[in-house]
Amino acid sequence: MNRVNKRKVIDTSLKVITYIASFIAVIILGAILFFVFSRGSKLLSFKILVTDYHSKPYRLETTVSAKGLSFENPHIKDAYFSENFGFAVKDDYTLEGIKTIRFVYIDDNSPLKTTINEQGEKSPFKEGFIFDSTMRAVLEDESTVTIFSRYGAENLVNVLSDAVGIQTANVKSEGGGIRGSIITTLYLIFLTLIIGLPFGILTALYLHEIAPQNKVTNLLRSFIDMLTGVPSIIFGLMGAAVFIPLTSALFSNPDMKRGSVIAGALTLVVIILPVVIKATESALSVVPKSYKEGSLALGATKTQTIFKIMLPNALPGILSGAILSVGRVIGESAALIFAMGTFIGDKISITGRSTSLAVHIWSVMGGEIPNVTLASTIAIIILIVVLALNMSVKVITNRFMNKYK
Amino acid sequence: MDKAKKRNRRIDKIAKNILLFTAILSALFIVLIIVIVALRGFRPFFLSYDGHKVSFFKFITGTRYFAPEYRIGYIIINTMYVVLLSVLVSAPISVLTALFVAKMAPKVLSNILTTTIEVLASIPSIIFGMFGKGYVVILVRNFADKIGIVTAGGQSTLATVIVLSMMIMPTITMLSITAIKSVPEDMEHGSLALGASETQTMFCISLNAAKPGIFAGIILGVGRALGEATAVTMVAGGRGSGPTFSLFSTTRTLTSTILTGIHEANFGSLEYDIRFSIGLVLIVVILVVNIILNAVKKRLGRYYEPS
Amino acid sequence: MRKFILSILVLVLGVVLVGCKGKEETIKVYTRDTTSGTRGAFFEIIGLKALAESNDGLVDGYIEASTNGDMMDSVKNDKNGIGYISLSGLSGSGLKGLEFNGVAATEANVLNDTYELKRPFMYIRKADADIGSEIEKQLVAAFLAFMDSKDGKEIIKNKDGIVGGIDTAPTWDSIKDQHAAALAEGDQVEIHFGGSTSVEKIARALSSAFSALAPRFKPMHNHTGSGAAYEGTRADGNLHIGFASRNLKDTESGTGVIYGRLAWDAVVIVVNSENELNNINTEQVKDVYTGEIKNWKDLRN
Repeated sequence: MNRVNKRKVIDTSLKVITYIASFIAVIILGAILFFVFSRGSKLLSFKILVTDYHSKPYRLETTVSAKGLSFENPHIKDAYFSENFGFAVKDDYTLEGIKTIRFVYIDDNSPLKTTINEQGEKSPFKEGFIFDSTMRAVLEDESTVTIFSRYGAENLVNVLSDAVGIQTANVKSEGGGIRGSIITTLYLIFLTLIIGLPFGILTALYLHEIAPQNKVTNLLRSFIDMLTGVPSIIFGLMGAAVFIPLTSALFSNPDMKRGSVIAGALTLVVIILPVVIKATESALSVVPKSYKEGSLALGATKTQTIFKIMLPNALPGILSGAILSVGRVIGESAALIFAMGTFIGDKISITGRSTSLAVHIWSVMGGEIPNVTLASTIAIIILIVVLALNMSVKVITNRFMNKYK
Repeated sequence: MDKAKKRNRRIDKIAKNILLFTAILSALFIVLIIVIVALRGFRPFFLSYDGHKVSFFKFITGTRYFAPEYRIGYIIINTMYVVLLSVLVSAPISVLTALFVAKMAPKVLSNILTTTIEVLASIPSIIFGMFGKGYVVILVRNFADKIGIVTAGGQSTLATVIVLSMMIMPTITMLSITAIKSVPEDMEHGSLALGASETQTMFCISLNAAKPGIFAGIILGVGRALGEATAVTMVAGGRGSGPTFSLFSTTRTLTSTILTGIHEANFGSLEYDIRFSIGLVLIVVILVVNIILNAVKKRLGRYYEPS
Repeated sequence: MRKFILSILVLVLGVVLVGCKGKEETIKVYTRDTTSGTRGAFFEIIGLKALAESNDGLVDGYIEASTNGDMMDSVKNDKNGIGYISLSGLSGSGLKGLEFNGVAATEANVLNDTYELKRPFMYIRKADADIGSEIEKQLVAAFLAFMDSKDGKEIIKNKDGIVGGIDTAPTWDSIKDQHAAALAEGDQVEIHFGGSTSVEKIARALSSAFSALAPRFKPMHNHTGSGAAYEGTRADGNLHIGFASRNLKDTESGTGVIYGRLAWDAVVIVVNSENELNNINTEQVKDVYTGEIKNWKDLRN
């Protein structure tokens, strides 16, 4: 009896431990998703997808005069209203969490109409502008007084109530958006696939269809296999040492020495190469031999058979490989930090420097104050896309496998 | 007829050569990587930069890392320590989870768990790093506060181990599931027929038989942990000297050392090239660890003869 | 096999437990890393110049923070912590600033020379001979003129820099015609700024305001520490203007180096907000950082 009981106790405790261990995975995933979504949903909006990251500075075109003007107060909560200039400001925080003053209302007839932007062009004075610098106001006796943003919104309005004009004002548009990084990520996906897919498909075709079964072929295969085991930071070193000088020389552009989108794309091509090759090869091996033999029997050349029969039938597998590569491009961080740099850009070009979404997270999490909120928002986007991609790979693989049964 | 045949043969030959060319190029990339890293990596030991030259021996065995002294001896030890702890934490959990999914759980639960693990496996490492820096580090800091230990804001060996364990768990689990599932059924039936309980069968027979496959999963997990860069850099803390074994002190791995400070380094300076040297050491460490672990795996598999 | 695994587990557990330490009431000393200008200024003024560049002599168990933000975070969460930050970061940091030798850390006390823990914010610029294009030379010159103008000084003051001579400086309007070439329209040119992270806030505000005035000016900031100010502005460096938050070393201010001061900053010694200490003098600070004084009890006299 004792032995049986002892057995039962051991059995039950082992079972309990196993149950607990299994649910740790669920708990971890739940914690990560909860963290990311709860912190990041605050900022998730259409606005953040289309705003630039860097705020743009503006200044007044000429001295703005308020002689004799008086405006009605729209009574906006927590805001201070300037009667003689017709605007309301409040103390607020930027998308990056820094204390600032924000223009929340500008009357249509306010003298604060036009500004000059960085390019020297005229631009309207918009609601939403941020003021965290200095302003110089003109008083009745023609002397000037400087208003500092550090003293707050109420101080700004109070000093202006005695003023008859504003001589200079350093304001800026709000930044903190991720438009640049989204576009960069799309560029990277496009460039990497355009270069990497043909490369990988042709290699896979060679290995699967043409290569003789000898030691050389095995050597080639093992060399390609070794690429999967290389940590991404080593790819980054390679990208920095090979592709950056290469592209910089190719485009004769010394600014590219610190990295560029094209250098990043080339590095990514090497990373996804084994993925594409493997997917293509396994797709080719599922195509029934009869297709190939039939085609050859009918008189087609080997080339025609490969490109007109085998390849089209392997397309679903190639598609999976492409989708997996896209997932890898979106998630890759270490290699791109080296090959592309961490400067968050707003005007994206192939030879310019900017960040992908993943590197944008790295950029805002480093620095003096890590911006966890913005990072979480980007993480939400990355997670949704990567999960959708993985699910579509599964669907494609299932349907493809059933096709030949 | 003859002209067409000749033309076809020529097309075939051209196509074959193009394909051969791309294949050789693909295979050459790994060679390119090793050559470049080695070339750049050897430079600090043989050239002098403004009169500085790094002694290889001191490089490998020293205990401090700030310019201009570059000694990564302690970093190698810390890297292995952190990876060892991560494996010790995640391997039991992964294996038990795999056992559960493969043998114990009802089909629905099994599918849910498998999907969960696949989702975890596809999360990019930067997100693990962000989760680590924004949450795990805070947890560690509060925990250390309660028991009276001081941490550098929570960035510590413990945080690094937790994050790495989370990252390699899906890898080990998925391979273990495959290994356990492929144990031939007659072994299990035989055990049950001899009177063993289900649990006994699962633990003593199935697990043991799946050992080589499970170990392969662990090897893959170790590889991933050794090579992880961004997530580790965000939670480790960048310690300047060592080695240190305390769970609550900051630490540093080979990968985080390569990654930090890359932007101050000018192309071609000592600061820049030394990172390639560290990369070279990293490659060697990964190779050596893989060889050793694979040898152990062969020994494990020796006692199990597939029928 | 099982015994082998078990013994490894025991070994690891043992190492881990031995590694852990922790005591209450011991002063936990925080410092910046050796490339930090804040660190250099701090140790120089309290009379421990050797500690500015090396960690030899620092009390055991010190912790290095890599940025001002790191330092603030660390001391904020450590009741036994003591560290030092730039005065510009004190408000809103959640930390308590100590009086130094009986004088409070305020702007007025820095300008009237009674608060001793002050340091200059310096800039170094690349020599014209080392700059490639004409437009870059003009933009650098114009920017520095803007920085010294009344408008520039007000911007520095707005970002908590302590600057004198605001009223006597010329307005930008009155001197901008001297830089007409730099303010013309055309393709954008990258001008690289770097150096101290303590000066970064001020540098960014200046470059932001200046870029609205000069259409070709495109500022790029990469601040990694005061050490980069001299290094980055050499002929082979990649900065046009570097900032340092300390006095320049003799090696950095030799002939041929073009530098100047844009503001003062005070270094304030900070402790956790729950700490009862209000004042600390030079001897005490020295003793804390060299390990002569190890407990908070010994300071509360």
